[in-house]
Amino acid sequence: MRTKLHIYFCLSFFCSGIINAETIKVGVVEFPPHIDFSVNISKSKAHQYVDDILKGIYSKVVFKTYSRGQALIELDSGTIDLLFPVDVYEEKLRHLSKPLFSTVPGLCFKKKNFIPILSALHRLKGLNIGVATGSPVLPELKRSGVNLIILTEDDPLRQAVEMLMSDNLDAFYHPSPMQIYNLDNPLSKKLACSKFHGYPSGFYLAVKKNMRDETYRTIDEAFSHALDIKSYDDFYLENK
Amino acid sequence: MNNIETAKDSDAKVFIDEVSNIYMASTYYIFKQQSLINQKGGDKSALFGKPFINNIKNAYESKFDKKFPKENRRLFTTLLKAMIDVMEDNRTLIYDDELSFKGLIPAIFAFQLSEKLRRKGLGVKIKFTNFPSSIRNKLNLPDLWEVTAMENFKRYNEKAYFDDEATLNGIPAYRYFVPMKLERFCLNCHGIPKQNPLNIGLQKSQWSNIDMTGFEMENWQLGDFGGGLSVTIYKKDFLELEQLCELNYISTFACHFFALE
Repeated sequence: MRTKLHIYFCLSFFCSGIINAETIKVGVVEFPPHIDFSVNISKSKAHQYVDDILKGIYSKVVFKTYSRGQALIELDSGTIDLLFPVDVYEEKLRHLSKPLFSTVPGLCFKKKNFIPILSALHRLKGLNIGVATGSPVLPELKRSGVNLIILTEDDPLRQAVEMLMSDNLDAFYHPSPMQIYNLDNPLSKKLACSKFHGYPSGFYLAVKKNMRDETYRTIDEAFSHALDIKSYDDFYLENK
Repeated sequence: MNNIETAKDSDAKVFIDEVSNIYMASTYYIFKQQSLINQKGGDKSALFGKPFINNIKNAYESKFDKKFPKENRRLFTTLLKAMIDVMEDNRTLIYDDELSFKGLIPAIFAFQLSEKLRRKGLGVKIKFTNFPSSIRNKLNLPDLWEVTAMENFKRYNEKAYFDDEATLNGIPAYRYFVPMKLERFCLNCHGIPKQNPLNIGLQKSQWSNIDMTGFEMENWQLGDFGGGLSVTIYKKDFLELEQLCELNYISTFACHFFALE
């Protein structure tokens, strides 16, 4: 299917004669399982999907991996043209019109304390819930009477897991708990996560501030068209 | 209204009825598989991929006593694929042997399925709803059309209500409401404490009226009105689904190229 997707986009753009001889530089930040730095980046599904689309427009696509903080600096300075996947609302970035994919936030618990259905918000009342500093939290969670404990260390996930294991937290909030609670992640042996269904957030390709409008339009239309034809979610599941 | 429009509306009614039946069959199957979902270990392959869909087809044919519809419509294919995707999303949970109750109950499966369909942007919206005083998840609160449909059901005992002149968010839409009477399996959560599986083996004085999902049981009885299934398809999306590959060359190319149909 990946080959098909690539051929389709190449055909689409060759036919329309808009293949661009320029190079496009794309920053990538880690977002497992979609972007996984522990293996060759080209094996990550989100990389493959984005690569296929951009190769239909540009003759050369260069990807470079960054930490989140560094990536934002590079995008701001314009040394990279695109950056993904990012929560653009959190970072207030210029971005393509459609999200590449959406995730649903949730809570991760010790297995013995697992609460599977989070719409039963009253069950959360009084619990100590860890939240990474600066992380936007669902208003519903704030209103449910939980005690939000701000995680201030550089690696908030590590801090959260340690506090959870030592019973200093009842759960921690994560914008995409399925990054943790999936069979490929060893943490899924210790924790179990549930989601706030109905409250998805989109993860986008951000674009540099000074990208020319015409370039933006070309890239945006290509992604919009691609997502209509074959959503990233479908691509991911088919190529898993 | 001309004959073509009437024919389309009639197609839409059959189509939307079949969609709602497939949806109900899937939630019924999820209920029937609660032991398998929550058990430790064992072969759970029936809950994934093609075997899962085959089981839903069987559940459909057994529940509605008719053949499963032909999968010649894009939405059917997408709906079935979305069901597979939802189960894949829950694979880690389903295989987690340290959790005795996983929470993948019919209502949660249905909600996740609706969410998946919404994200696919098909212009199809499906939800279980009820009167505001009876709703557990506020994201399932009814709109005015749904309240009216439920009131009509209570007043006139209508079986199902199809409206080809409705709107949703100001956009012309086909809307369909199928009322649901409480079946025995609903009572584990919505019935009386005696029916709460958590109370099995306990003295009556120790019974809890909080069900497995953490909500207070409603004390409803078998056959009581339990809300219903609300299905909306924007008219423009229904027409596009029907004509996508016939009227638009690019989409036809894409449809065939990716075997979307």
